[in-house]
Amino acid sequence: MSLLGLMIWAPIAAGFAALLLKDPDVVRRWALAASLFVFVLAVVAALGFDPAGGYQWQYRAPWIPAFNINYHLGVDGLSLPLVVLTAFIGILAILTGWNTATRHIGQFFAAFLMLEGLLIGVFCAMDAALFYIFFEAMLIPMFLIIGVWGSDNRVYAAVKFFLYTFLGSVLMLVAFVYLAIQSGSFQITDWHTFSLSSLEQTWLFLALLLGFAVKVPMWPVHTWLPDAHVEAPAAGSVVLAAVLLKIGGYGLLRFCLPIAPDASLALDGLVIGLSLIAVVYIGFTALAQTDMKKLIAYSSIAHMGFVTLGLFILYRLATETAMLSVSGAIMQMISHGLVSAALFVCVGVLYDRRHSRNIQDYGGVLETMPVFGALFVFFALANAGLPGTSGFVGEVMVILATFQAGWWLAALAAMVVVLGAAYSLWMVRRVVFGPAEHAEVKAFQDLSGREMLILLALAIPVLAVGLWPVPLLDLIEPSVAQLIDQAQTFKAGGAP
Amino acid sequence: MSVAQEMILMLPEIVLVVGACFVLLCPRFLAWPLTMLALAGTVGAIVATAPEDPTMLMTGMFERSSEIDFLRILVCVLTVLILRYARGHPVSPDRLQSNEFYTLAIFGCVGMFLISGAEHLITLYLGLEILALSLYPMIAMVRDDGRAGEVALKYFVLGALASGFLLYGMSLMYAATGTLHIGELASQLGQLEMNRVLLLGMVFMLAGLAFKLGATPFHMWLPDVYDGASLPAVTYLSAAPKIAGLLLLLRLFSDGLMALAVDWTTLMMVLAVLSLLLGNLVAIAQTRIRRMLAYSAIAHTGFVFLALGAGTPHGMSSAVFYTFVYALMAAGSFGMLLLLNSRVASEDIEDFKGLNHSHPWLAIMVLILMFSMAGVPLTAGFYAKLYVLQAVVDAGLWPLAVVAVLLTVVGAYYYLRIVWYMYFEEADRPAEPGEDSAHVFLVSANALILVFIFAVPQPWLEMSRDVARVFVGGQ
Repeated sequence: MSLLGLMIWAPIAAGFAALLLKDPDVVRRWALAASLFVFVLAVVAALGFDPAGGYQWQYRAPWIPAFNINYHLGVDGLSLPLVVLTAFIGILAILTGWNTATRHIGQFFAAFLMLEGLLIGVFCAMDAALFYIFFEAMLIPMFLIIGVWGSDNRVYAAVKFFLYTFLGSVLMLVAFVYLAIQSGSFQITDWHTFSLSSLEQTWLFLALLLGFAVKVPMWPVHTWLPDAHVEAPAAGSVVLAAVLLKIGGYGLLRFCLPIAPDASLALDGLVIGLSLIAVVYIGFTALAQTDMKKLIAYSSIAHMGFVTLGLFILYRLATETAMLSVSGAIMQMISHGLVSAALFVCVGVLYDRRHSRNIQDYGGVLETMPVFGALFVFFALANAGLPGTSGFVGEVMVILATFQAGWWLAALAAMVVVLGAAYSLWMVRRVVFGPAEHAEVKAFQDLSGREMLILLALAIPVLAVGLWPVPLLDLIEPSVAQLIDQAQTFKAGGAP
Repeated sequence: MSVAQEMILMLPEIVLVVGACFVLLCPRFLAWPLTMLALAGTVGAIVATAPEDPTMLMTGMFERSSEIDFLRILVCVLTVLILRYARGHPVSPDRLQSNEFYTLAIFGCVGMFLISGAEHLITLYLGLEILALSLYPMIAMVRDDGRAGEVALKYFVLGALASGFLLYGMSLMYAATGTLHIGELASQLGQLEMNRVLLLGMVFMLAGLAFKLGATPFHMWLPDVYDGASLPAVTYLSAAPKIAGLLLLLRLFSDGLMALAVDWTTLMMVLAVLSLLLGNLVAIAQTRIRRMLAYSAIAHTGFVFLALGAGTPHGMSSAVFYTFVYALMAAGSFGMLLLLNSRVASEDIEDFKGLNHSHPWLAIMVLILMFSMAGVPLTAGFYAKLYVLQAVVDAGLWPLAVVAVLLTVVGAYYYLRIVWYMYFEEADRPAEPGEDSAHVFLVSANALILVFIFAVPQPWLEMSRDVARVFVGGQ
């Protein structure tokens, strides 16, 4: 079995094993050990990766000759950072959920381990059918995580999450089937070079866009996200924000841009428009939230809108600037993965103590939890894009690039920073600072060792990427260059 | 071919009929072992006498081919499974576990076997009627249940009407072509100009079959029968006869009437879209599990019609695969119901509440069955849908594929509801499934095989293609 295959199937197998274990402590340690194992494998894969080498760690075996579907795995500079991110977040999710489940503890950790395996599968799949299988199978554990261990309105949120994503993905399936029939192959790289008329591209683009837009999520199909985030347990929110949303951006990179470049060019205004609505309108919506989890959820939508903006602005830019904006969008995805995960952990820490997500139930947390307060403020600032944190790198790259397309576009895009600073700082001001008025807050204990470990583990990469982003940029840039080349190789050939 | 050789090739049917006679007359305690023996003997006879090439028997009225033998074995396996599931059911000891129930089940298999090999419209009709006449009394068997009597009558009247439609259609075909042999019919039709008699005959035949299969707008009887008949009878009705229905469609339309494909594909598409629409939408409103499964059956029938409506060999093989997977899912779902019902009659969807808390293993099996019905990956249901979609898109009908998948999302809702009742809700009253470990094992195997087919689909897909090739039009 290949390295990537092991990273996919080891956590899934470990998840099945967790179902059989009875003792809660054994289950927890088992799940932690399994996720650490996957992370070690991810690091091995990253260390053995040559940025200029295209797809690596490939493994290919025929699976369903009748459909011409292959079990084909591989990573390039676009997917490897996301694989490492998934493996990293996998550990933290297990730690965050350490005490969440009170019953069916085996099922809880099994769901997370299987989810992790399936998510890695999504990023490693080089065969579209395999991608789709992981993409949709992942709904099952996430549905259960939200529904079984979520809060009061969990059923509604879980069903909404499932149906929204399912709706987007079935149309994507029709697009995949069409492409497979036309090109005779399910391999994604074959589709990248396959010629399509511009009418075909338009329909395919719209079907794929819907599938991934739900996942990103883009306005106006974003409404499942606030519900899902609010109701999911903290560990579920962490995975959802950090990794699941990235699948949408990854899908746009992997499918929409290179497969339908003419349609992407023709319809880039649509995506840019929706992205700007997400940045501005959803940014204002975030300002109005009183529920911390909802606020971070809306902040996620705004930040992901910024990512889609960075991807689709490329048609209005010269090639070097396009590199800047697409790399910036990817940096922003990774940074958002770390920062939003950290913010959800912070809210989880508070929720464990007060059992409330309402901002007005807090205030003056700094008095009793100085260490936590400092970390919370740090992550809020990273969310606002403070220089020196990872949030800054992506934002500045995209905004700089956007200037070339028009100053007003850049001005609107920069709203993400302004509004991000506003809602993030306003939230920490009301929660962390000020006098402690509530008796419960006065009785808070500062971070436990486990919570400290999680937050510090997240703070290190946030700072590292913010202060020295060059290694990461070196890793992704060759793949980005290839992507831009594909996205600008128009292939309609004059057909209507 | 000598009579003796023909008899050898007809051995599976002979074993079944002889077995059925013995089961009818034997002491009650022998009925179960003899039934199993008869079905096992049939499988043995099928395997032992499988011919190399498709062979015509009985002056060309019956065809024996090793490709279709797979589906016949499947019919036997499903029948064994279903009878085993039904064995522990509370209403069975004095009535349903009697010799008659088993006899009828075996005769139903005889009917399905005849359908599977029929090369002549009369053989086809005979097979269909033997199957139908086994099902009517099976449904009516619970004598003191008024509803069972009512639905049996309803089923009988509508079934007889449908048979009439089918016969009338066949007679019109005979009038136009002068033959009842399906192969000759196909070659005659290839030379004839289209005329109204042919068209009328075709429409009557399709209407008759749509009645039998329960495709909208001929579906009215189906939810009532699913809801009113005894659970063992519904379980029997829900699985194996679907395979027979598919074979009927393939034999009549994809084989016999291939020359008229332009006309019947359009009709099938209409039936498919209506069935998908009605089945999926109405299923949402159901509170009783059996009615929900009934409407889900209508929706699945819609998918089979969609596949056949593509009018290509690709579509036919996808229809075979779809029906094969659906029969397994239906058998598993009703097997699970029979297990959950074996001590307390639980008929509402709400009775699934909290199943995960009391019986996590069974909950996982139901989860697999439901996600497979919804067509979510990691289960065979996904390939079934994918294969049909491929055939439909391949035939250039991608708007229909879009309609079908959108309705699949609607369908996902009611399958999800069962999952969320099991996992997210607390039980109103504790579930008390039977503790028959063999039953639990079989239901689990039935669900897990769907995951197995997902992991290793190639042999099953090839099998579907081989089966479809037997029918490919006009030979």
